[in-house]
Amino acid sequence: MESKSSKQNIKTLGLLKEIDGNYYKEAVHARRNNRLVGWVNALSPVEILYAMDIIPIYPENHAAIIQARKMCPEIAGVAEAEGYSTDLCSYALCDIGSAISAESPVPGGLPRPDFLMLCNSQCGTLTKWFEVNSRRFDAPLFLIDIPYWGGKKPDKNAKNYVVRQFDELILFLEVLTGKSFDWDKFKEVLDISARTCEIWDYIIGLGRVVPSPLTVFDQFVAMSPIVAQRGTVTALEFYRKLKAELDLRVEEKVAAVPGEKYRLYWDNLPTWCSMRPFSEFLSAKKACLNANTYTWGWTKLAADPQRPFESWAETHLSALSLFYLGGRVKRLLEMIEEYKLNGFIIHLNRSCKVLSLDAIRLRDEVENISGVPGIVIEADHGDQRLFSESQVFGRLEAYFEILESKKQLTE
Amino acid sequence: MKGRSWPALANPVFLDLSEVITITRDVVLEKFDTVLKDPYGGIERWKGSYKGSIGYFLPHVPEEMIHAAGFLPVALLARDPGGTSFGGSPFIPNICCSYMRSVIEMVVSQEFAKLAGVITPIVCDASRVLSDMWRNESSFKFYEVFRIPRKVKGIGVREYFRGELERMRSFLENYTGEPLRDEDLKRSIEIYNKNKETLKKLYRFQVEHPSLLTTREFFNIVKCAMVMPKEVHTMWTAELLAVLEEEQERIPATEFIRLVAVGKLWEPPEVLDIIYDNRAIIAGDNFCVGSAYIESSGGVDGGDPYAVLMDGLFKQMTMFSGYLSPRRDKGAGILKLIEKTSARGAVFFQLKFCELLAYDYPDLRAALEKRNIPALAVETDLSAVSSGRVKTQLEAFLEIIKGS
Ligand code: SF4
Ligand code: SF4
Repeated sequence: MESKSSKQNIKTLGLLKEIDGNYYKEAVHARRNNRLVGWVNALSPVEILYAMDIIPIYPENHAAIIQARKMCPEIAGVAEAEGYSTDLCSYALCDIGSAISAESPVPGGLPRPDFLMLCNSQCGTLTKWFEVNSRRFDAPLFLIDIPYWGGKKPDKNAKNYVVRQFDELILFLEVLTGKSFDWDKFKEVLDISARTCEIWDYIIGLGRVVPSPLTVFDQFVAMSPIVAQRGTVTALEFYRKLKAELDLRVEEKVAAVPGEKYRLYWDNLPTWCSMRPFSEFLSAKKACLNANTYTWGWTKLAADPQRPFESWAETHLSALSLFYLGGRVKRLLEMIEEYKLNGFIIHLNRSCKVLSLDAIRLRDEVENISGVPGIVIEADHGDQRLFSESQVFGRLEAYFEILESKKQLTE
Repeated sequence: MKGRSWPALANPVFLDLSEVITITRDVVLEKFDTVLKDPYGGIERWKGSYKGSIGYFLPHVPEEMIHAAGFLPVALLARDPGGTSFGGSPFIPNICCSYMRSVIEMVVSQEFAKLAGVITPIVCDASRVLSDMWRNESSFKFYEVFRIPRKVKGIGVREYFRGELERMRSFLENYTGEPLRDEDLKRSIEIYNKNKETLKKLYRFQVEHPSLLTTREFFNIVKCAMVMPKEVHTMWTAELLAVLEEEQERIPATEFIRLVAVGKLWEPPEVLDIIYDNRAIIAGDNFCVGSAYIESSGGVDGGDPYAVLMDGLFKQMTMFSGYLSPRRDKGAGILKLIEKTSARGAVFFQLKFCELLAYDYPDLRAALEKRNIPALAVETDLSAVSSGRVKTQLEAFLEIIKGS
């Protein structure tokens, strides 16, 4: 069967409006339903909260919505007027600005936290940011501290430390809720979470197919349930449906970018404030972003139901070490082969130091070893004031000329 | 200035005693200056007394343990821009703080080539990322990351910290091939305690008698303590104190406005000069190359040396902004310091792209505002020539205080 020539949207993604809407509705009515609300970060072990019937709220997710609606300048501006520096992560600025001004694209805004929980394997910024929230809302903050081991094998001491913090977290939540932890329910949630992560891994892996049935932009759009509702039947069902549709697209050779000519990797967060222009620019070039590592993180977050805390400790101490220079280089080199990439775009994200400070090094090392051309573009994941779209596209134009001449040489 | 002569030295390697020098304030300061002018190139001047030098990124590294293993621990300090800008390394983006950019640039230009090894503590996202990049850029046989806990309280925190210190100890033992004994560790702790106590005395003296020692001179002496043998540094500091104490009778007291300073680094040094030139001094601070360092001393004797190291590092960590701190007492520390030092205002040294203080600053400022304590934030950048803007800001701020 020939590849389809006009763009066909992924219909299942249309379900997200309702799924996300219901999630926020439930959150807004949490108090009415006597449910506690915990503000957590993207890599938190949210399964624990679902097992305790606590509603998890993701300030990062909320900030991304603010940014996708292009409200960042206005809302981050409120935080800046209070003295928060523009150099901070724009997620944090949007969240803090929203807390101060009560401005939010979510009807009713975010419910106040009863507590905050945070796992710092993601970055150090979050600890400082969540501390601000903890003070503002006078709500306790539980930090799961993950010593950073990069690509090295963590020692037993570090592992014990992390495991003991999970034990302490359960005690903390038991005191807070006045309820004993329901281990049976926890196992059920873990089981659902594991199945969901498996499907998410499969979906991301479909980027290997030629032509790719989905883009990384589709993955960015599709990721909210795997982040916020991991461990729920809602998320599992959504990804099942998405998988079924994508399998069909593969069978019918439906290309996410019709006439797919270039296959590219994207590094770092998306530019939430400028997703459509990027996507349209690349589509016009017949370039498909079919690989990334950012959305990959959530394929790893399921825990072994037999030894959940140990397995989470291992994951956070080592599997997520993909996010260190050596691991990033290695994985990108593998992906060039696996995903048949023509090039790679490294987003040097002004907001996110932890994923950006080695951007130039990453490009240089991968380019030197593989000979595949890469480009570093300077932007921000959410603050359109901090970069110029036209400049970025100008640089990408020049990059596509390199890709084109390279392609002609090899064909 | 009345002269003094050198006391007898236990270890002749440290100083050339061939001539007896008349000690004046300037002579002692000159010795500190000589060390600071070329801290890493000149490191071999201490060679006979150590197995080598081990560098460490700021802050929070158990220096005493490195010392007990027979090495000279030296802080990796940003290059003094000396009034010029630096471009930083071509592969470190400008969104990285200038401290890290400066140090990495120094690595690339081989300025640390005489060090035997390096230890990197993970204190922020920049140090986390750069700990891996550093591994690639340097060719040290000895390179290790020190993984301090990022919280001070909680189940298992102290046990973990002890385990991490033990890991560091084994690492050093493997490197030297010799056991690192508790007695050696205790001895080193005592040497470091003594040094920090002497520095505290000097700080108190400087605050009382600012016309005898400038703020920049004092903080340079603290800086010096982090790159040279403590034994010698303590002796020089004690000498300086003795000379200054003799001087205090003769020099008339001058009124200086007292301030509290908050930040990781006090550089570029011109900022301190602007404050001092406007008849103001820093009477209390939480700088890594300042009070967060010298206040982290204490205990040992029959005590547990690991507990002493942990308490010292925890103290540093809570003074500095990078760690989980109890939610209700934001501002309590700075208010206490202001009261203790009779300071009339606070200056925040906001290093560009260092996020840690930047998250704390608005709440700290609010706590000060509530008590009507004037506060000013100045944005500092080690890679750029200190701008006239900082001078104007500081002068206006000090005028307000003077008028109040
Ligand atoms: S974008 Fe980067 S800095 Fe901001 S919260 Fe996420 S990981 Fe941390
Ligand atoms: S100055 Fe700030 S950002 Fe830079 S290394 Fe130190 S703590 Fe990290």
